[in-house]
Amino acid sequence: MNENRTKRILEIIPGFLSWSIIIFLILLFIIKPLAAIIVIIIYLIYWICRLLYSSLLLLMTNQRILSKKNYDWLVLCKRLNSDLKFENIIHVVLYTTYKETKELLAGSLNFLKETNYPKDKIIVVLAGEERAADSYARLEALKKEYKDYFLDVIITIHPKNIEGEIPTKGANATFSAKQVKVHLEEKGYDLKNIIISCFDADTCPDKSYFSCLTYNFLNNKKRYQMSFQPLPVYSNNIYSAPAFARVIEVGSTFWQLIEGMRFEKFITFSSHSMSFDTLVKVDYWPVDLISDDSLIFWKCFLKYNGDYKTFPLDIPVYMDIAVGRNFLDTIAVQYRQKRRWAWGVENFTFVAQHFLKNKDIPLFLKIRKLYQILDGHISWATWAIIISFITPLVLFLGKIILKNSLALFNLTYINGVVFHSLTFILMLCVIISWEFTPPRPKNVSRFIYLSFLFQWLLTPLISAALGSTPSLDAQTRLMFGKYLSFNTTPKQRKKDEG
Amino acid sequence: MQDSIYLILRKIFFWFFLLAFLILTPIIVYYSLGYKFDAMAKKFLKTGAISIKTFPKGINVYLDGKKIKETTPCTIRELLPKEYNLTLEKEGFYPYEMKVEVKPSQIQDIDIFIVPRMVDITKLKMDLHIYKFFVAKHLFGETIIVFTDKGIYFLDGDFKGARKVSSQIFEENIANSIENLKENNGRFLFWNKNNLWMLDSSQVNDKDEKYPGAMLIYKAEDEIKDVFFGFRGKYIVIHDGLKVIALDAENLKVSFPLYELKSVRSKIFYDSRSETIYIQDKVQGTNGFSLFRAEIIPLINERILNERK
Repeated sequence: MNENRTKRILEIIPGFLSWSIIIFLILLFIIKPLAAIIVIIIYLIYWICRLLYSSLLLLMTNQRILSKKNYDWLVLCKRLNSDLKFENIIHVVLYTTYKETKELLAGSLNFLKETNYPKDKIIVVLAGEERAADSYARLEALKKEYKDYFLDVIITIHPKNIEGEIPTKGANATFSAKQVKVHLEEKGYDLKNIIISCFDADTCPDKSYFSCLTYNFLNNKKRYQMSFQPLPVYSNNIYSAPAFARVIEVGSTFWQLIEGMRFEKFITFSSHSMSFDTLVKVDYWPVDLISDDSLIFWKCFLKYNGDYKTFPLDIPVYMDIAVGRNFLDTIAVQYRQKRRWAWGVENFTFVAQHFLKNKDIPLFLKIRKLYQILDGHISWATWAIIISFITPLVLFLGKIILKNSLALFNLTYINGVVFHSLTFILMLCVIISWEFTPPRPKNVSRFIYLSFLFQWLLTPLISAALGSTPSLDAQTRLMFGKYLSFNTTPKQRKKDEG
Repeated sequence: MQDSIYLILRKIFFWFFLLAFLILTPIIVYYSLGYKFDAMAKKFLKTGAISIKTFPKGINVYLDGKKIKETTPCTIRELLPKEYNLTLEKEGFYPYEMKVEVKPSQIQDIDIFIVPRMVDITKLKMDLHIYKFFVAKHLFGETIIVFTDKGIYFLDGDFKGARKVSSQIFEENIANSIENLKENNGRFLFWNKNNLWMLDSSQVNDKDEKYPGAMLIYKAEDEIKDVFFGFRGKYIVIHDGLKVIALDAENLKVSFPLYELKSVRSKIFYDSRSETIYIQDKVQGTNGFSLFRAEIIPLINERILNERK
């Protein structure tokens, strides 16, 4: 079959499945209301099991992170008996930036400066865009300010309109990494000893991040078939972001915490690290797709015929909560950001297309991985619609159509159990979220903690409004071939934050 | 804890929840549809349920004479389809008995108000001999107007407050003949077939213990059938035999004959909110009755407009 045709069919599948589930439930209720009630009961039981399972994973990951909180990773690195020498390891920290302010980047570099890893082993790369007029001047000013703190500070400017590229973070990072490779080879570094961390402009690593990363890199024999994923904690501007944006982003952090426990399913997301040598071997990040952060994992997975993993680092990197100019703009910004994340559904097309060509990956593994991608995205696009809209609608109309149905009565009861389970998870979230809350700036009233507590009451509203719609939007666009353009998320911090 | 232990734990949890889902789902679905496994007969039976809500809660439930463990609100499940005798009982309340038909896969919703027994009810503490009482509802609750051997009193709905408003003592037989009472802006109208009285509560002076008498404002020519406040409360509309009269509430000497009714069986109603009078009256030349209405404000406007024209 024609490759383009296969691609289009694969692009249609996720959206088609999500819409089919939603339409099927509605039609089934119209044609056979009792059957629809039974299907929803089964779906809700599945959700209760999934929620409780996820909350246990959340607790386990939290426990795992807490147990390693006081590790002196640097000492562990130095003591470690590995085939690679700690002294030879060099870190390339690549910040991709577009229009972010100099102050925001300086904030991130200050964090990097404060890490406990030897700075003479860190090369900072500031990857700017030609599309942003003042890129060079902005980055040059930063280089002047920070070059003495690190082994080197390199500036790369990604030219606009390169053929075969779309304007994405991945294209910028790839261009930059290629330039850095030339630089490293000129300096005589062995790429096998280089770890590259691809950070967003607002990524602020924990002070032990590079020590922890280095330890796990040295300690893993399959280090070149492994990406390293920190826990993204959206908290840099937590004291100035609106409550609903905080809830959404803390939710994203928790989702990563849960994912971090599902080792075999774990893939890279947002800021991540990996061997520079592997990056070169897989021909860098994709330059014509938006979800570069997860696609780099799949490129590696395909390169190594399925023998590639993402290692969860039990250490956070702190990032900004996406906020807009005002309340409504923040809703729009959050929606667009979640839709961009949901655009990760393009991974399905990418992976399936390559699986068709690859004969070395076992069929079972291929099916499992494709199911994993589909399950994640279809669940995302449908759960909130089923729980927040279809189930209440069935309960409401069912009382008119099936007045005395015992099944309908029990559906009300099971629906109540779902909400109790959600409340239980919310309480867990409230407790665990304190662990990741940065210290309160002096100019912020302590009463903000009340807002931090009561913000969770917004969860049902947020789930209904923003739970599934960005994902369903992304899948529908992909289904109709209306490709999403990469939009950078605005980052805004107050002076004392981050 | 080592990472491998987390991995083992996660796998255990995964399989636990997967098995829980696989095992629980058919059980819950069957249970939701009302199926029950009869171990004796070794087969599934289709059952129904009864959901009982009561006011007040906590009522004991008896099904075919057998007490149910739970009190209301409760749901009795796994009932074989048939007719059941349901009794709701609690001390101090009348027992409520009913028959309930349980159908397979159906739930019978029962919502009952349980009536308390009228024993040990509250008595008015004041030592008054009550001849007649009326309840006037207003925005903040209700006022009970009592005609007593010591005059006319206003009582709060809960008996907690009492206020004397008139020293006038109606004889018991006259007080008993009072048919109704209406209130508007502190003015109370009450009447029997022959007389219409008005009591203005704003004239009461509690400090000086000055209590106005109830003023006899109208004597019936035939028989007073109904009385209303009308024309923005300024007039009293009286249905007296075949006449409908408007009497100025401020100046009792002024009155107008509003309408002449054609039958003693005719009725009127004055809606003070819409200033509309409804009249059920005989149709000219027939034996039948019809309904007539006059909206006062549009009628006034129409007359003014005609005058200008």
